Amino acid sequence: MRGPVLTTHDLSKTYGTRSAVKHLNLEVVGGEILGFLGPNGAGKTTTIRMALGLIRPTSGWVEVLGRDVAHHGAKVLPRVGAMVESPALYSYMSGRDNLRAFASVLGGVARTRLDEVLELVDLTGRQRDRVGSYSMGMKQRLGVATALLHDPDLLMLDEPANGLDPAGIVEMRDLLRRLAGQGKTVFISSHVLGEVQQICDRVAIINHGELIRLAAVSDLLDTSGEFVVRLENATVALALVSQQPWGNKARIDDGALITASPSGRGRDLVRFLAQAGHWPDSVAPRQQNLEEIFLSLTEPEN
Amino acid sequence: MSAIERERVSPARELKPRFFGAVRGEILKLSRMRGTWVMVGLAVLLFLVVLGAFASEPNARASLHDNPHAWLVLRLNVFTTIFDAGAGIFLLIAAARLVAMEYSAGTIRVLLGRGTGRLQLLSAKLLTLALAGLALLLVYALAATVYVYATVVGWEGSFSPVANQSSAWHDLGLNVVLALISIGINILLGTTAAVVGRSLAFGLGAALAFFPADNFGTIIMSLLNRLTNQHIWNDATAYLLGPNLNALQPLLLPGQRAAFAEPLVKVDATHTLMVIGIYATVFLVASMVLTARRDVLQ
Repeated sequence: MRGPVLTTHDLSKTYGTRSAVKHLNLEVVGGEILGFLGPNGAGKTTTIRMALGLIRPTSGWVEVLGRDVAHHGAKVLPRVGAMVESPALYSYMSGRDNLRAFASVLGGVARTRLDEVLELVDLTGRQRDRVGSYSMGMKQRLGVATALLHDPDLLMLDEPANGLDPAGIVEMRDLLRRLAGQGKTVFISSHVLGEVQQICDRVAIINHGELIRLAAVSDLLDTSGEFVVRLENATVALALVSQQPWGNKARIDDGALITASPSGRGRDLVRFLAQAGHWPDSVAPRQQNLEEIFLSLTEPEN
Repeated sequence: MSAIERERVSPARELKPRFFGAVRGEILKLSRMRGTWVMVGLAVLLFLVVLGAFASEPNARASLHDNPHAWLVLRLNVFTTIFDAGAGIFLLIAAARLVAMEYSAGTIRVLLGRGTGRLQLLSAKLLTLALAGLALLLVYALAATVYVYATVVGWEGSFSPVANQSSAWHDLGLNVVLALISIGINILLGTTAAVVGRSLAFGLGAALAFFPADNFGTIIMSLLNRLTNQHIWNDATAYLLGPNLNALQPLLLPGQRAAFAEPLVKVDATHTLMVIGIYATVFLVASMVLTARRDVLQ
């Protein structure tokens, strides 16, 4: 499926006078892994809840698999696997019985499928134990197994790496990649930006309920517009560059001069420095990581 | 995932929430609750205590021989009262837990998030609880029947002294109706308390406090009536649920007694049934409207 799988149309949600989500227009394309980023209270979970029909939008609407969720939820939501916030499970029941209880609602799940998803999340050995005795990571994995039960076309996971140890995070990353490889669409909200950077095709950044950036990860990482310049007397060069209107954010990092260019092109920066007698040893475009971009977009002064 | 693996799940387009699938899920959840079986165990224990009390009753055998109708009516009265109270507590707790735990555990998100209708889920829970109530009634009635049959045949040599008591058997039918009313109202009360509070603690607390509160309320009303000399306090007890439920048994079955508080003014069976019906309707409508309309924020 390559068309839009999840689309929000001018979606808004207001609680009293507080706007949790404001006129959000977002499109998740089939087969991609889209990361949904934002600080706490940005509106991520509210958006996911509206997409799952758990809360009603104040205005706007959500289209999942080509249909309005508010009116056709019973038709499209069975094709969505979701884990919202923490994994929601019956702690007094075994892991396997949890899956049985959720599977029975939609039916059509063979016993062998339960075995498959338990194996997929590495819980086969603990499937008969009460969920109350599970670690946070095991609960997280069982939550993912629940979402995968019906082999959904769209997987929506809210903070899937929560509570996982480093090995678990790697496994989760591999699992999500495998699922995307099978043509499934994955929509994940996460705070682990390193993970998002590694597995997502695109990211949507939301802050104060508004979408502030939607771009391919590769595009986002290439758009810092800064250069890493290695040269002698970096401090003297910094003083010179800082006086320029385009260089007011220049700084020294790890002995290198980090600065923008007069025109945005590297050769004009080299020319400027050379004319001032500062011949660079090397000039390279600076790649920001997602964390820096995220912080620069969501920090209050921005 | 291989093609073979994919075949183990119904093709996605065929998936849709199924009411009886939801009922199966609810039965699984109820049957896996340790509290369910603890309460069943306690019910069995209580039943055995009652049988022990009957067995130790002086002149019980002579009573059966001399007046089999009175002997049978006494037992029906006790069995019905015990069932109404015991099954009532069981269903209040079961209903509150079955509904409220979805909110407390957040599993309501998973269930609704895969397309299950809110009212469909509520109906599945109500049906499951009704089936549990009917199963309790059936097993209880069977056990009581076995006790009565074995006792009568053992003491009298045949079942005919009791079998000929046609009015007692008519009363038995009314006792079953009373038990069904009790089952229904307890399920609705427990469900409504859980839906309103959307938490296990509130649901259980409110459901279990309701009947003691309105039974005790009758005493308070009586005191207020005496203190203020205003009859309105006594009149108000005619509209309390618990006292009306308690009054129904002696009203429908003359000769039987209410085990708990009754309204402080004279009421007839029609009034009592009307009050119970209105409470049941309010509980049902409130739980449906709140379930359907409120955002799921858990």
